[in-house]
Amino acid sequence: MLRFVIRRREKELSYAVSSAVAILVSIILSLLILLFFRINPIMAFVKGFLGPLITLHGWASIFYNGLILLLCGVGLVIAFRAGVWNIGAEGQLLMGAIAATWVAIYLIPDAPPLVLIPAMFALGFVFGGLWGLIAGILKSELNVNEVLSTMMLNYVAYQLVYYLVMGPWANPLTNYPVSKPFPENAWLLRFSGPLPISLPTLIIGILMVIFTHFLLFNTKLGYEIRAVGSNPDAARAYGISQQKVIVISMFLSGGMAGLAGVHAVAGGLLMPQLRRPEQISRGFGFIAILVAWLAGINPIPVIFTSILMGLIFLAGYVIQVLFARGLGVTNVFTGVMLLVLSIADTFRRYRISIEFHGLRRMRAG
Amino acid sequence: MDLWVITLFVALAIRMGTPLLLACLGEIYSERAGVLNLGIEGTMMLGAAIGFIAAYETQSLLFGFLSAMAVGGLLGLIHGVVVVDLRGNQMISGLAITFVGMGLSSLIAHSYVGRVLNVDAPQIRVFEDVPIISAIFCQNVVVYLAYILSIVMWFIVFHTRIGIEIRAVGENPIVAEASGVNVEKIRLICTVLSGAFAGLGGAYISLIDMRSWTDLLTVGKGWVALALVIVSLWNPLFALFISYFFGALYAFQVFLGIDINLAKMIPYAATIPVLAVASKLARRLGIPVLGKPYIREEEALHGV
Repeated sequence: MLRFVIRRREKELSYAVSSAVAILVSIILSLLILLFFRINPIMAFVKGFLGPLITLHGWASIFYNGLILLLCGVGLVIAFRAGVWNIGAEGQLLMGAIAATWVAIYLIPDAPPLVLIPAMFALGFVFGGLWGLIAGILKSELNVNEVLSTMMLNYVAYQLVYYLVMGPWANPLTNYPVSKPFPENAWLLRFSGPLPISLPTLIIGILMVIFTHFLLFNTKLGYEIRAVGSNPDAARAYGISQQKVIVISMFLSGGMAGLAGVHAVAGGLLMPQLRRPEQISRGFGFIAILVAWLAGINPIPVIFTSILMGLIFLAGYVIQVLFARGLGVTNVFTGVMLLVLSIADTFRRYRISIEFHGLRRMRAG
Repeated sequence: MDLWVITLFVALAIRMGTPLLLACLGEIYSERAGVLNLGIEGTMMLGAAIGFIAAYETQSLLFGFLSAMAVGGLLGLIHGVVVVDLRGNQMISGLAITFVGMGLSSLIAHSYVGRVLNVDAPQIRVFEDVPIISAIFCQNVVVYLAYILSIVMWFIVFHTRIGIEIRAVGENPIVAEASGVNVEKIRLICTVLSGAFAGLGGAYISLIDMRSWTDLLTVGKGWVALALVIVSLWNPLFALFISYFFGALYAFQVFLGIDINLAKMIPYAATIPVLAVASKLARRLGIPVLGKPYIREEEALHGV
């Protein structure tokens, strides 16, 4: 009988070391899995991971993905710190995208950019936040498992976008399921430097990271969030309202995913318009879980992990397209990375060895 | 309404509800033993893909279902080893299984998109002339298997020694360990079981319901099944009725005649209030240590 045995390390490894090892191991594992599907791992690495790094368009895509992941990821940091498993960033992002479309096409289409763009982000935050709030209130008031409620809300938001682009908001000029294009004043890329990256999103993203850092580590509410997340029983004993923490953290978390949704529809290289939900997000809300987790659930490192995951996500997509294997490569990457990360914390604190019939044969770490 | 229209509706509800029930039954066991398997969605998908390929190549439904169960069990085993032996995070590992399952199923079954399986499952035909009842009992053998499994698994959980041990492992692992139960072994077996059942449920969709494979075939049925585990209060018999109730919600999509994109929302949107009611009920009955790793040698010292 083969089994894993773990023993405590005398000295724990640092987060940076365990995260770096986890990323390396998961990239190698993912590429080896591709080998089974007759995709040359070396070619895949060169074209998928190195290819985007040498073109302007590649960097623009990395940052476009990265900014979505940054906003979703930093929001998830708040939720995870509060011990709330928000896996609904995907749906909250889509609600933000719906809000942006509503503002830009129907509410104030003729407004100047300085009014229109802030309004899109503001309403995106509110829509995403309210979508998160539903799950937050259900958890705090009725003890509804937030993993399941946020997941259900993902599917509802997904169908809602489908309904809008095929029904009431469909562009009458085309048969594709898309909305009308946003007015030019709503195009985020009008504000960009030499590299086509949306400056408004970049600024908001950095502000959100600073805000989250300040909130978590310099305010009473942040202290309460961390207390409820790390030790709910003790927090209750100190008279901290668990309900309040859950509701606020879900609202903020959802709101930031909503901001990401505004960027997702209005800040890319494609024409800004509401599209089919899988074209808006392709799973960013889930990959953001990796972003937050790789950052050790801290706001500042999210800046780096989001850009890194932006690259890894792009690599999966490039491999998918180049080797014509349909969907799946990015999902395998995400899954393998999550799996490796789920034991990274054990690896950080324990030595892992494999035993056969009680005899130790192999040793790792 | 014509009784035979209702009969058609019930038949459709059973067709849609059976995969939910199968996935739900396995997950009840792993959650009863204290392991949450969020990988159900991806496990169903990989089960559907592998099951379809196996059945298509051999033209044998039995072989398809067995392959799906094997691959589902394997995913369950991975989750079990990570969570039980390596004390990994249950949430992250479960999500990982879902993504691995989704990704691998797309890659593996890529060239099977658009192919149709022309093998019929054996039917059991009783009460053929009675409206409504016939929809329940004129069914293929897999549906009968699901009925029987619900009853057998209910009996095992509540009326046998192994059932007591499973519940003890979930409710209080320290006491269970002290009374000589192998906590890790039971948790591992139950997690493998949840994977195998999810694989079976997924294969039902690709082999009997759709008879074909398309990418992301299960579209959230695994997540709904996870919710139904709570709604059924971890009781396999309740799961039987609740799964078919939700099957009816899926069937509504066809019968309601509203915009298809809005109709597709119904099962997901309906899950939320149902889950809310059940969660209030479950607050007292819930399994207390769900989601926490069991750490034997340190538990006594630190009371993790």
